Amino acid sequence: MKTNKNLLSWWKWAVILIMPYMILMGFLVPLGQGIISITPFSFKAGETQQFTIKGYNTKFASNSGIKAWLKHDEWHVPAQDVHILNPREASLSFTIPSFLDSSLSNVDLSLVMDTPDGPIVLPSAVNLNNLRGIQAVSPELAWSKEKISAHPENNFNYPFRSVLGETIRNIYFHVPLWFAMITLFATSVYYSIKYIRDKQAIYEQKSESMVIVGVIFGILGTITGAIWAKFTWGSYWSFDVKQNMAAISLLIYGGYFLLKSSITDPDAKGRIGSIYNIFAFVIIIPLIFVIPRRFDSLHPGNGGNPALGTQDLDNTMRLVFYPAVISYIILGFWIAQLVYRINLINSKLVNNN
Amino acid sequence: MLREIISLVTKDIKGEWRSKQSINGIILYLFSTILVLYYSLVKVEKFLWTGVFWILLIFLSVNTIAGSFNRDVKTRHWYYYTLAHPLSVYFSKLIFNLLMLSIMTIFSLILLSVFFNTPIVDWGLFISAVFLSILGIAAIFTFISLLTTKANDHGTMMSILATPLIFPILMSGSRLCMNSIDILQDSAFYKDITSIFAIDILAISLSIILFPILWRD
Repeated sequence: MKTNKNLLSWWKWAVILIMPYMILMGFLVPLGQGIISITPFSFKAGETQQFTIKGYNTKFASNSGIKAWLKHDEWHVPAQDVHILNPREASLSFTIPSFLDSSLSNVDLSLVMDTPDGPIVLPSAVNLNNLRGIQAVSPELAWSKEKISAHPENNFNYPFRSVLGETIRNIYFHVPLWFAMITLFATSVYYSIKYIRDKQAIYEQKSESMVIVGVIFGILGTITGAIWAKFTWGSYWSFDVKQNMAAISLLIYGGYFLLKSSITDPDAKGRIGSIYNIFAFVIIIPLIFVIPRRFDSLHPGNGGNPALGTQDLDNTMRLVFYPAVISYIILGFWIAQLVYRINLINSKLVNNN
Repeated sequence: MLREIISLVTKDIKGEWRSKQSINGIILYLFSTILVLYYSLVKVEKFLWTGVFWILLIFLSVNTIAGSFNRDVKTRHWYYYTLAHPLSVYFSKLIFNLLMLSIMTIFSLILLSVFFNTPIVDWGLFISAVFLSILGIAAIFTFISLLTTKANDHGTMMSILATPLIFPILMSGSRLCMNSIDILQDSAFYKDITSIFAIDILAISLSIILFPILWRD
């Protein structure tokens, strides 16, 4: 077989191209507009209330036609007055009539703002004490169901999520690691099955190198997740069900190395290691994909909403996220190949001496 | 094959009955553990009870199943290999281990209720949860027990390898247990039952595929 020794294969070039792209895009693309805080948190129906809001990455300016609404489901009420204090701060005044459904004593309202750069939404911004029977001051300030016409969002940025803030970029350095880990483990199981069928030592070595890289990726994923958790949930380890399950699956693969190191006969080592690898992978599937659904978790993707739905990723993030997943998976295979080759050279050196 | 399984199980039971080695060991373990618990905790609250029960169950199953393939000398495995189908060996061991584990669990429940009061409200749920968990634990432990026996290891490796593997069963099982004690009100408990059942089926079918390969050696 003729091989070109000067050129890397194309899939390695893909990693070399996508990784810098991902890092550059991950760090350089700015965050979109968001609202950090709103004071006060609650008010009564019928009173005129001034709210002071603090924005993040906002460019508020007078005379730029900034509008605001408070919204509940599809019903909304416009602001009486919008007063711009500085590019990061604005003062809004609302006079809200009582909500139509008078059975609710308290209603959570979301704040929607329209700026020339696009809309800003703060979910569950304020709490309305729904006093009954208060009518609107004027027909324009009544609850209406008309569609809010906002400026289209035309900027190239990542969405602002209140808890995440700038840490939303970590999604490229945390989530693809798990995708890569599962792919590596699955491929190692494929090679284990091949080893059991054909008894070729290379399959066993390939499978082992993939498990090694998969475990390293898992450890890195746990570390990046812990750092992210420190900034969003408050502590490095929150005993979230997914954190615990990840730790246990790493323990299970720790058992794989322990088992292999305890056997001296290379043939038995390969066979028993491969069988354990298959068994462990199948047991890990419910651990990672089934059990976390039964428990409350801080991770997105639990409690009904899909993990990678429209709620969590916007189009700009998809542009980076999907190539990142692919490049992490390929990088995993690349490192696994290197580990495999090093092991091969080592074993040959041992045999020659 | 059914006849093979029956004769192998009766052989194991007879062997156990003659030596009474593992039964006596486990009873000793149970008594001493529960006495230690009694003197250190005095009174076991509802919340503690589930924890105590499941920890007892884990060590019980490790002790019961760890040596299940070490009972015979290794050369006798080859003798069995010529006599019986590998799957009948597997099922005989599984049934025997399940039997032992059930007896030991019932015994430990009796001991627990003698020393502490039993807070279980929903017995049907409790028994089905514990039985399904024991089935899964027995399936996984039996397989790992053969694996470690083939790796020439006696005992220690088994508990290290097998305890993380039974974790999904323990999580669902202890949830169901909490449900049956009324600590936890979860109307969707059937989901836990189906997930344990699915893991049981998964473990047994995996063992059916992999056991003959391991046994052949």
